[in-house]
Amino acid sequence: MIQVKNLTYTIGQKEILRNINFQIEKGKIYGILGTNGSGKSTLLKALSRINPVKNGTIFIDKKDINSYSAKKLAQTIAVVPQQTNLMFDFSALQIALMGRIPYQKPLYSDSKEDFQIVKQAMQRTNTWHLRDMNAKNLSGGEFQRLIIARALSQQTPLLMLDEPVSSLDIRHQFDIMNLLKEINTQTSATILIIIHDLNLAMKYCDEVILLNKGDLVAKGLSKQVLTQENISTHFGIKVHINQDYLQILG
Amino acid sequence: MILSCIVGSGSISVSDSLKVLLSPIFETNTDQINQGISYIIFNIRIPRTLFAALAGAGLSVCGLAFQSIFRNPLSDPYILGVSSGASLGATLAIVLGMESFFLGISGMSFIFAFLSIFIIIKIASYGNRIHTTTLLLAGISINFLASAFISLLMILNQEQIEKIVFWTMGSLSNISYNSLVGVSIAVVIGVLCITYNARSLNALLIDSQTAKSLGVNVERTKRIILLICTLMVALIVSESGVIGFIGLVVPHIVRLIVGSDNRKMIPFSILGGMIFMISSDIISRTLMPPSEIPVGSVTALIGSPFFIYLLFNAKKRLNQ
Repeated sequence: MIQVKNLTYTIGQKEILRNINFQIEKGKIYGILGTNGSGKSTLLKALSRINPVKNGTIFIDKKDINSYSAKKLAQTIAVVPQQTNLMFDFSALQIALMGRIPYQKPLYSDSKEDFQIVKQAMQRTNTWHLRDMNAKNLSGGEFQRLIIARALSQQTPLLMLDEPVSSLDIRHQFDIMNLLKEINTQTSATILIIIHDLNLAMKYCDEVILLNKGDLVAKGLSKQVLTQENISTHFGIKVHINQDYLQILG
Repeated sequence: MILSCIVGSGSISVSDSLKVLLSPIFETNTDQINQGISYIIFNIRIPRTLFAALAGAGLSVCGLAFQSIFRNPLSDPYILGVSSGASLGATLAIVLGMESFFLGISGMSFIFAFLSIFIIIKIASYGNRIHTTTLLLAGISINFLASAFISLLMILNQEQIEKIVFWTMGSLSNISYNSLVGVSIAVVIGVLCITYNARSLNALLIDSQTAKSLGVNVERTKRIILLICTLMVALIVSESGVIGFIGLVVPHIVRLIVGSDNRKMIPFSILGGMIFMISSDIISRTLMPPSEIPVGSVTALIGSPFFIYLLFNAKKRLNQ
């Protein structure tokens, strides 16, 4: 699905990502892990061409990412950004409908089909009842689900989420992760998530990619990467792991 | 619009005006009414009203487009210094004696308007982000700078001082049918172009990252919209001088009524802009007859308090 070759990303003099190589297979959930400033968000922005890369190549479905038109790329990859700071008033439905922009022609109004797709996406994320509310007045969890509904309306085979659960309480964290798992099994969408909670990563991600200061230090099955040794070297904390559960010792 | 054709500082009675205005339709005998009146109405008031409608619509839609691409409810061509830049260009054209050249004044207006917006964006961008507060401050600085240059040019060219004053205040008193051609083409093309991009502009109201991930070609859209708006503003300013705040006030009121969706906002802003501008022009002509208050002062009188009100609101939101 995705192939990354010799990806280096610099901002000014600083190398944010250094010579990254990996592959993403179709239909799996990938967790991207690492401490703050390890380059996780930069990697996700590079993979979704929000920040285009100059050094290295990224192939999506065996095609160079730079050869995609803006619309075609938005029909392939949907992004849930880390933060959306609304300056203007939109209803929840209007926000979700924007997920159909990659398929719409200018000057045409939203079709019945668009409404149908958005309605389904909103029902699936349990936001349909909020459709007429001002999106500014939604709670953190509701808003996150709404943005996921917008991403689902894009009907893409790839879904990328930048810390979708970091600002949520434990109940809503599980809701979102369960929702993603459900989407993954129902639509076989490939999902990339930046996630801080090691336990959630362990429970929900098929594979994880571990970054440290711009280097890719480990990639593989969650259980193989999230070992006591890796966590101690790259996060600097001691943990004890019993089966699927990771206990933090300090 | 009809009201605007009827009232004015000239001492023409309302009934006479109406008779003249309706004469082509009803073939009334207007011989007993002075030829002069007829001239005033057909060659001054009608083009003036049409221009007010065009300028109002154009400036409002520009304001709305600026607010979308800068994702900032306080942007408008006047506050960001584009209008002042254009008026500096027009002033320079007059001083340099370029009035007789083809596109002399409007061309210079466009170049300087474009230069202002270019400088403002350069000042306000950090990497590929535009910083809102810096953008406004840069706009205000450019505004002052352009005004300072205009004052300087006025002092140095005292014989042309009246013409220049006209550009800094905004007035519709010099409008003729000739003025209408260029402006109407620019406004029609501009509005069409902005309507064509309305959905992309909606996505930009969320933020440029989101717009990018929704398949909007962000850089290209911004560039096209900026260019077309600068063109509209420059042409309007080169005929009427700086008319401020309309691009701020009208989209704001419309947004309160129909919501932020640009597809709904464009037609209502056009209508609102026309009404606001024509009414301001009527006020400017009738408040203190026989002298005219420049229409730019009227819009500023209404607009500045509104701008301050919006700033207070923004402050309240920050404090929450």
